[in-house]
Amino acid sequence: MPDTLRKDAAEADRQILAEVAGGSADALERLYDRYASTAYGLARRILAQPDLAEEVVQDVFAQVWREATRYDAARASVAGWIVLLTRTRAIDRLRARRARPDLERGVEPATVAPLSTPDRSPEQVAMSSEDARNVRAALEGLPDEQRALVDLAYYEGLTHSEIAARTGVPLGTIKTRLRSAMMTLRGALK
Amino acid sequence: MMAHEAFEDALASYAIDALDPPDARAFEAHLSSCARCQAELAELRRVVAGIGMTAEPMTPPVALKARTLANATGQPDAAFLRRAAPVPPAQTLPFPPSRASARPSPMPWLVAAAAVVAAMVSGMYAWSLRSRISSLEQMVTVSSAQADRLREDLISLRRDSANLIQTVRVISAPDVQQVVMKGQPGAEGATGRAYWSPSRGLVFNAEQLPALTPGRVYQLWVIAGKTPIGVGTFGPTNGSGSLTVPLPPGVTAINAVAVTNEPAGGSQTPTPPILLIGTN
Repeated sequence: MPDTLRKDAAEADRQILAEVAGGSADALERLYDRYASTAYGLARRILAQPDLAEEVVQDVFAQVWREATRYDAARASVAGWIVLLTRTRAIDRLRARRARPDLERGVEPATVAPLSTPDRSPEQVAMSSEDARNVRAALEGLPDEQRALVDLAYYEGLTHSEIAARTGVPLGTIKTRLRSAMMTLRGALK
Repeated sequence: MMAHEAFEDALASYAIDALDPPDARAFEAHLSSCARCQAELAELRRVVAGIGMTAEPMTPPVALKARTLANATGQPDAAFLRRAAPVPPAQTLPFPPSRASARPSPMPWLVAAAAVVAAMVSGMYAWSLRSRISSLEQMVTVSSAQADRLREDLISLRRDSANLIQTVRVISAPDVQQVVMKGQPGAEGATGRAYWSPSRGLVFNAEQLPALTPGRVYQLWVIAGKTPIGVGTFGPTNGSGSLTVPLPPGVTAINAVAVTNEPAGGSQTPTPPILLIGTN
């Protein structure tokens, strides 16, 4: 897709969000039409279970409806916001499920502090569609062991010590490699 | 307050939510007062959002749309069900889909009109489904008739091919003998030949035979000793006919070969006149 179209898409997002902020249910529906498959795809990747992924999509659009007035779409990306909300909600659910000792053992309840903080103002993320493309390319270029670490943290919501317990890799190595991977991806942003 | 450098390692992991809770709390305490970390974190969160965009989009269940919108806005599901169409991936939608932003009207006549239109549409849909089904049924019938025809063709080709092999075996037999046959009154122009081998059977071919009336066939006879033995019947094609048959059991020598006109299915004994005959 030419970049002009991508820019138009971002501009259209901003207009839609402004209408959502004004209380238009139609606008929220348009936003759903544009991003439900993105959100649902990510939620399924993280949670696998369709019913949990559907709950995540519901939560995300409810939060967008509530916080649209506080989101500064002129400076930040609507798509990026929805993606971050989706991941946060999905990881919260994943961690809560994992913390249930009857489902999975060996995780301390202390590690399941939720990522989502409803009282805080919405996080502004300035992601562009170009960012998504560059990150994808950079991810594919990462060494396998770094890529695997990113996946464990990103899609399984594992912390340093959980990754160490899962993989047997020393904690220090995990910290170094994860930082190195994130810096490589960060370098791919223009 | 600890120096910024002490948190550089934590920053990347914090961005992807991989810090263990005590480390995360310590980092957050620093973050609130460190502009460098805040700026860097914003960049890293772009990465985190970007990774999320690489996950394969998936079309959610259709029913999720009305539920999600109703749940978010506090309006009833029904307000959204009217447009609960499958959701295409966001990437394919550079522009918002253009459509009238008509809200459902509270006016009863419009609702009734919409119901009539909906009924018509669903009636037309049912009608188009029915005609589609009947055309598919026709296609199945035609296809299975074609398959039957092909199967018959194949069987007939196999029979022809087996026949041909047998013909070649007879004609190429070391003990093959030829009988030349001549047309008799009633079939004066007809000619024929028979090749027979005591070990491999008999091949017969004739031309210029008169056409038959319906319900009649030509029957081929071999005369071994005194009694004619029917060995097969045939209908001519453009005056030509042929047969490849085994010799009757016990027959090792043939005195004559003859053709008569018989009722369909053939006869036990030849019906005069003999139309074509040749002697060994």
